[in-house]
Amino acid sequence: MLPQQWGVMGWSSALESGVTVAAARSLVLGLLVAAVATPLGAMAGRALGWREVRRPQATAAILLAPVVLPPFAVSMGLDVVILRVGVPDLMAVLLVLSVFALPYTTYTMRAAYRGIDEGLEEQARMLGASPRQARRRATLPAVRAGLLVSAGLAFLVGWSDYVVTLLVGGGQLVTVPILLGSTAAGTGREATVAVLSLVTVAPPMLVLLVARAWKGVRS
Amino acid sequence: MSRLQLDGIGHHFDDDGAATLADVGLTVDDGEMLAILGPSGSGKSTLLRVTSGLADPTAGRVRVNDVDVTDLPAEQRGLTAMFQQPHLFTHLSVLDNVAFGPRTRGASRREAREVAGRYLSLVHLEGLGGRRTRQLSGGQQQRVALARALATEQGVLLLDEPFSALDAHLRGSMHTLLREVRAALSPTILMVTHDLDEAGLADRAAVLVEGRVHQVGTVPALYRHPASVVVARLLGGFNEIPGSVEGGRHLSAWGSVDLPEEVVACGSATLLLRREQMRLELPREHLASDQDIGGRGLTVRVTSVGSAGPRQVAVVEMRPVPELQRPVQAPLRVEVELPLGQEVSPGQDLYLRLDPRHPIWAVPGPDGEQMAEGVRTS
Repeated sequence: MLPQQWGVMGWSSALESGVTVAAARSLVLGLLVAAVATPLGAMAGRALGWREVRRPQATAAILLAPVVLPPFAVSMGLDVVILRVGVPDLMAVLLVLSVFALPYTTYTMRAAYRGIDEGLEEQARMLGASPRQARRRATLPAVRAGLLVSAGLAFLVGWSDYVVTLLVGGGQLVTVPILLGSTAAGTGREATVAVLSLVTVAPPMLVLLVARAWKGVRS
Repeated sequence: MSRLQLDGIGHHFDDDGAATLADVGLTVDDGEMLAILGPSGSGKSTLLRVTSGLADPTAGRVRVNDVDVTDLPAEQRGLTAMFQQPHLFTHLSVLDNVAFGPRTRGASRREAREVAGRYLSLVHLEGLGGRRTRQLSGGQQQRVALARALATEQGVLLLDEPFSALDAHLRGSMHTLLREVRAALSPTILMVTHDLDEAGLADRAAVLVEGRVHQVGTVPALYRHPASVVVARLLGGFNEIPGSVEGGRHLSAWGSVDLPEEVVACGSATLLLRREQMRLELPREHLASDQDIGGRGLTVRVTSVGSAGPRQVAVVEMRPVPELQRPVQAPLRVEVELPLGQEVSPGQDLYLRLDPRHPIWAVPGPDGEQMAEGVRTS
């Protein structure tokens, strides 16, 4: 189990295989998914948490569907629609991944909105704030912890995805998981695979540490 | 100067179409405090929401200083509001909560905090500006909420049962604070409440039942002369004696009560007797054949003794006298408040008389459906 010898061969090999570019792509993809899915999830979470929709349970079930249904089926289904519309590959991957991230952001934000005082916005209005100011200055600061967690989860969906990036991206978009998958498919490159695996788990660990630190500050 | 006018306000929820407010018309003059007194579900909070702009009326107009603000959003109406829950912004300090209003209206952070400091002093919370809102007690939180509303410096303050979540002691101190604020700033205040004591803080009170204003007046006047059985029931403490008015007298199973010459009501009328305007005395055998509550008295039997707040209240039952042969129109029981020191026991026979120091009040109609001027004797 333990390495028989120590060295940087694995790192050199990983760098040669393009891990830097792949990590940059994964990073951008994760950030873009977070940027799209977090505000959408906040809106949906607010509507569900404060029961501003007529059929909250049905709406919640639809939003949860991408997580419940097999990702392969969802990806292929959406891919067909996106191909017909003629959306570029990167945009298509971003859209489909946002659909997958939406359940996580929605449910996180639903819990966040349920945990705060529903009267804050109306109170802010009565203190002179416009509806937009009331959201920006009264409600959003109250759910900022939920927003951070949502953004972190959405980022991880984009960062760690394999299936969607491969299927919808058509193999053109080489991210860390894609690189890891292709490297692991061969033999004799265990050290490279190990390095790529470490790179893959680094952001989730970072998100976890930030979340713990944030919780510590809050308490 | 700020004057609030509500003209013919109507409102119904879309779901069932049932009217929650019907033709409500009220005026609150500059510096005046008007209480909307009503039971749960009477529409009083809806009236406040319509006034504030948080809900739209289906009929009527809202005017502030004679300017029609019905179609303006809440933040542009020249009003501010404080609710039952303090709704403090937990991400802001106490001082910045109070500074919220001035900040949204464009004041710099420094200017807004200066204003906030003044209003925190007004509610006796100077020195607590740097605290987080979670560190405050319930009473302190409501003081911050009041200071925050006042710091907007709008002429009209709407209060939605602002102190009902507090215990009796804190409520009392908030009432004192509200009097101080009125003396210092003279804001125009519209307050909804179901608490008669709280309504007593106001210059006038409007009784709202099932979305309609039934009576407007000072709280003592409402209590002395409720316009209808509905109002009397809301105020509490009244015994309702159904009967009829004939020849200037109210006639019922309890006997006859003289009404003055100016009585205009005829036919069905309800005599409203307050618990404290009757007294129980030891029986006098020689009066047994002269059973009349409006005359020398009526023989009753105590059925139970209980408490109504700090007071003892006896429930007494009329003992029908066969030779009088009166139609029994109900109720056969009334509640009588006992003066301090008087003790009675269930099963005891006593004499029930009216206390001549209290005015007598009767209203037309047998129930709450009919609204009309009451008839009064003194």
